[in-house]
Amino acid sequence: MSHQYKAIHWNPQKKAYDLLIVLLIISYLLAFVGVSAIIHPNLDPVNLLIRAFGSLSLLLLHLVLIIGPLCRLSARFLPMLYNRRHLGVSTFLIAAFHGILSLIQFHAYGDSNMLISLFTANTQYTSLAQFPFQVLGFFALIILFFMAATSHDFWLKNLGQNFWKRLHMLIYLVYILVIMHVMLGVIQLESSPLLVIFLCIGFSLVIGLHLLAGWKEVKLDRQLQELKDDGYLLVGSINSWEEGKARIVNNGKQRIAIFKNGNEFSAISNRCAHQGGPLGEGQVIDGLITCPWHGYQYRTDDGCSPPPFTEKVSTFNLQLLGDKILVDPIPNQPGTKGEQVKL
Amino acid sequence: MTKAQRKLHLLSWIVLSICIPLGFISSFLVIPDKIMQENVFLNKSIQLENILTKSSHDNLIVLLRSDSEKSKYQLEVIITTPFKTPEVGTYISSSQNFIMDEAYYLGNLGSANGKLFSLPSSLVQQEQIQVVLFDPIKNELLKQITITP
Ligand code: HEM
Ligand code: FES
Repeated sequence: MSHQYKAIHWNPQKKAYDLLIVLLIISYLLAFVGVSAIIHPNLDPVNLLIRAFGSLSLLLLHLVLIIGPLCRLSARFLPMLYNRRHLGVSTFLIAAFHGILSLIQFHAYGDSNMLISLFTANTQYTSLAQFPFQVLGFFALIILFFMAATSHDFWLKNLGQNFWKRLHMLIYLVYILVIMHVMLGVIQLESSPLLVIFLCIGFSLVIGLHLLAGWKEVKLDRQLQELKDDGYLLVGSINSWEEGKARIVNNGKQRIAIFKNGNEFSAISNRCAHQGGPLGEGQVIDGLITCPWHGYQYRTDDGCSPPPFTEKVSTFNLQLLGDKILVDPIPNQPGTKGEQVKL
Repeated sequence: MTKAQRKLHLLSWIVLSICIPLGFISSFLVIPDKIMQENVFLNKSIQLENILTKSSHDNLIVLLRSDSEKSKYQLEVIITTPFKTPEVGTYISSSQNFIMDEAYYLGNLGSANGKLFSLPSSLVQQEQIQVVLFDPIKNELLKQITITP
């Protein structure tokens, strides 16, 4: 995290990130076309593009999917999460190009409408070996479209964080549809075995990282049950904090981040109002608690974003007992002042 | 994320960690011994210029087409009197005895009055091609035609 983290604006990091995505895309496409032109000089150029864009979208999909768990496992990967949305939208655009080219190449010159042809050219829906694999790609693309279309914060606000999050979890369905699209395509078309090897490495990595991160988090949720005293949760001795950072406890339903800012302690919900990022893993910058994911900021005392922003998170009341900080597990209304401890 | 969302994520991935390898492995188990679709140009109906053979059979005309380099082939089926069944699977059979699961499936003629199918060149290398029209729903052989390329 740095001082330049600012919410929403186009800042130099976002531009650098986008430039990197564009460079990655261009170099992949050039390399793919170059190598294929040598290995398969007779391949139809449109088929070559279909393969180049198809495999690139598969690669990008994997990248999008591993960023989340990598960031849970190590904060070093956080810069990748900062602008992940653009990586997701690029994945959709590249996949759309692959899908539309395929539709034109394989279905536009038929007797029937392209989409009807897509669904009826091969009707072996009951056979696994001959299954119309293109249909799986089509459904994956439709879901990716809805995700890309609602990726903007405008939709996040209008749909609500919970619904938006659920909608975007459909990426997991996309993932399995794409894996089967590629596998069934590969066995029917005798594509390169390299693709199968990469696919196998790819899904092992994606599944492995998610299980590891998920298991770690669920274990943490269990561990974070703290000792109770008068219904308050014990957080720790005032000397156990790093300056500007938080300690996190769990009230059984959600995590609470207790920050130290100079000689002042304050507690807010660990869940960022933007996309649910872990506020307690961020730090206090210029007196404001700053989310490690996309840099949304909150005041320490009332959990409100500074004007002109309007986001709010819940605060919690703190107490000092000897040299120990205790927190009330019951949240205050989002955006209302909580009792802080001032030394 | 909330505790419930974290649990849902973990649960989704536990399910995926079972389904994905299962799908992956079962695709391997069913690898057909011959390539099912050498190309995916199923319904493509820009007619290739050369007609190699043409034959008429009661209610249909069958043409074998190719391009000038003989690198691409098409089978054109023109129906003069429609079939009474909606499902007219068009297959290439490797032997006189048609067995659906072993035949190469070209596509459904349906109620169309004609269709062009791409033919993998490997099929045209044989001396004779058995074109079979078969209704997989009623399990009924509608027509079997032999063409000699
Ligand atoms: C309308 C949607 C889609 C259609 C019609 C479609 C069609 C096809 C076809 C015909 C192939 C075989 C190409 C060949 O090997 O010559 C293919 C392969 C492939 N598709 Fe798709 N697809 C669609 C969507 C997608 C999506 C959404 C993704 C991934 C995000 C994807 C990823 C791939 C990959 C990785 C391959 C293998 C590439 C290769 O053969 O080297 N496709 N698709
Ligand atoms: S800023 Fe996006 S989740 Fe916190």
